[in-house]
Amino acid sequence: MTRKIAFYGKGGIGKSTTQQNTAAAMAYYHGKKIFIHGCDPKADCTRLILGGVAQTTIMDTLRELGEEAVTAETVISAGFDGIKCVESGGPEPGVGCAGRGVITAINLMEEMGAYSDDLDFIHFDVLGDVVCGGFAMPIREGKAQEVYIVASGEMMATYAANNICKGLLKYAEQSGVRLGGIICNSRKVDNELEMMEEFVSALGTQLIHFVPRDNIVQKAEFNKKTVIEYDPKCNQALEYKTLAKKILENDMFVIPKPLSMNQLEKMVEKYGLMD
Amino acid sequence: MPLKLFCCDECIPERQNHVYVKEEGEDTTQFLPLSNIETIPGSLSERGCSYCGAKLVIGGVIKDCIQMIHGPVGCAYDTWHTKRYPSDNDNFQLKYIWSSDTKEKHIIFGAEKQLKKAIKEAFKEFPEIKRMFVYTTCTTALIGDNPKAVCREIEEELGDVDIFVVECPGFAGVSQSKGHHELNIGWMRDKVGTLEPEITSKYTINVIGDYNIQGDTYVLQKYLDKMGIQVIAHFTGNVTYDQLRCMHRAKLNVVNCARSAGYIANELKRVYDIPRMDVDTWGFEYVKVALRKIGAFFGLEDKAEEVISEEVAKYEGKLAWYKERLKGKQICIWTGGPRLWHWTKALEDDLGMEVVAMSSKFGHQEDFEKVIARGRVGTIYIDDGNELEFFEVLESIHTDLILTGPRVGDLVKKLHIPYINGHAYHNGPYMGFEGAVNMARDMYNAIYSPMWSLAGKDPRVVDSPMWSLAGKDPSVVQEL
Repeated sequence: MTRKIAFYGKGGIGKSTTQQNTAAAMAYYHGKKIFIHGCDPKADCTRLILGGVAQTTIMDTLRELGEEAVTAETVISAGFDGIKCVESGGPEPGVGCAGRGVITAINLMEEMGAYSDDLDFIHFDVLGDVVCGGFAMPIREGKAQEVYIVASGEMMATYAANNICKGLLKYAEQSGVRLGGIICNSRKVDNELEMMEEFVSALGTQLIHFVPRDNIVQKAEFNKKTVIEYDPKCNQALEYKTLAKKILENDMFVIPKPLSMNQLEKMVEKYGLMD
Repeated sequence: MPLKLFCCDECIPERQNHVYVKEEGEDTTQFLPLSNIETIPGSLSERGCSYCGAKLVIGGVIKDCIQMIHGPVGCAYDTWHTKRYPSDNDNFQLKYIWSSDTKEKHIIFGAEKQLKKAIKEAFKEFPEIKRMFVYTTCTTALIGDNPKAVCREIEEELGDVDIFVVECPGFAGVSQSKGHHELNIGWMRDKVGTLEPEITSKYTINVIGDYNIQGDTYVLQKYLDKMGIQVIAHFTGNVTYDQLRCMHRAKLNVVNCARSAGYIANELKRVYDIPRMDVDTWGFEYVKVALRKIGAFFGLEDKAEEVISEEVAKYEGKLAWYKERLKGKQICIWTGGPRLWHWTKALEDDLGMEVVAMSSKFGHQEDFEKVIARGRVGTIYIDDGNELEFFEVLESIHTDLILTGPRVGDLVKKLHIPYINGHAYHNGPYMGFEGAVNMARDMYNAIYSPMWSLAGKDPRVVDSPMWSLAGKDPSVVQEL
């Protein structure tokens, strides 16, 4: 059965990088068939898989050629290790309604049967925060059943993760979506692991993996590649391999218990001020 | 029991606060229905939206503008041509409607470019038209389009056009009333005072809140011409965009529809210190009062009396003929708001009719104060009424005629009760002396039409009067 999973997290946290490296690790080390649906208007959720190729987005095709022109051939490309990629695209910042774009793109993909049964995983890579109904589309009924939130020990990343959990609560009732865990993309801040562990246990979830910081990720990115493609034997690639394995074997799916503002601030202060 | 709960509202008892039955000795300090608040869930409201209030009621009347609706195409058609307000330039404003026709892709990517394209195309197709109204709708307001910036660009680019933008998304406010307000205040802020009129008389006025329904404006203009009064602008019957820009030069604002246009009169008072005079331009006796008040303001009492005596001589005989046939007839008024208080006492005093039930879609507290003050004891006064409640009203009272819109009108026809279009009229104008007679004639024709005695008959029945009227052979009927 195809598992549909959504990646959320604060903008700039390394969400798309983590998502693509995880996808590459799933395909390369574990032989899985992956489909990535990028739901960020910037359309940068698949560039490491596609070697930097700027894909024709669903929204661009819709705008320029009309709905009939949105076909698998025009908008879906295959990249590293056969991973299929599509980007919703959307308006430039400050105009129109990007949320509506996400809704329309997912509807079109479903209509054309792009989310086929032979896939092992569909990744929805969603922008920063669940700012409006449109960006919650990937976790509505019949879409992603599990969510992974990419976070770090930085204060704002924790706030964002907590907020995403609040959004999840509403949909957990409606669609059955569950939180699969928090992925810590380390920023090497003080007491990061300890704080994340306290945070995930308060949420009632797990720290599915602590991805250490390693400059090889950036180096691979400059080469428009995931670490797995750039150097599959390196230590960081093996970290993603482990993360992929943990997701494959994950059986802890929960409805999160988001923290109150007060609780969250106390926790952040506790670790932030620790010497 | 001055507040009334309809049986159909048993599950929404809050509706009781919106329905009042006037009793002897009571006044509005004791009981007043709630109004101008959010529709109660469960109540089948007949209210319109803010956009509709701006476009259909006020802006769409102006005779020399392109009316550009920035939104999906349905918003254009559904506010086009449902009200008849002619003009002396061959009804330009009734013939066309323009839409930016926004689609899914425009909502996602922003619809400003689409608006710009639509505006430029419209000006190109109508090279003689240099003025435009642009209305926002729910969708284009929600995505944050900035039509004002688009219009500024186009004004600079084309050089000889002037565009007014009304920000009136349907979801703003509780009813169409919010759209009236937006347009009034916006026009005052952006356009009044940007052009100087040619002054041809010492006596200058604006006529505010008259929309030339089937020629109302022409009637008023005729009287004012005879009195030597220059109308700077009618807000907005048979008026041009540029005339409305000159409103600041009037010495007096004469206000008829205080609900849809009282705001601009108040603003003109605040900013330019122009006095506001409220009048009723419907009703034979009321029009006399209106003309006398205007005459008194300018010291033109004699002129006013001249007009009155001339018009009264022409029409009082006709009115008397109808009064003889209409007196004692009971009617309902279910319209927008102000017509309740404009009409109830006028129909009683002029024609001896009795208004037994009234409902307002968007009236505010001041409208209910006025209508209850002028209305009869025993009459039902409803805020934001609906069809279920109306049918219940009809079970509890007798009515010979209903003044309402075509939708409710067609429903009451099925009960064989005649209706007169209370929004756009049957055969107007209804304002002024001749208008009062026209209205009486339409009511007479409706009530005395032989159609109502035939409407309930089954034509398949052999002795049906339908067949005897048509001279049909009964044997043919039996074979059907």
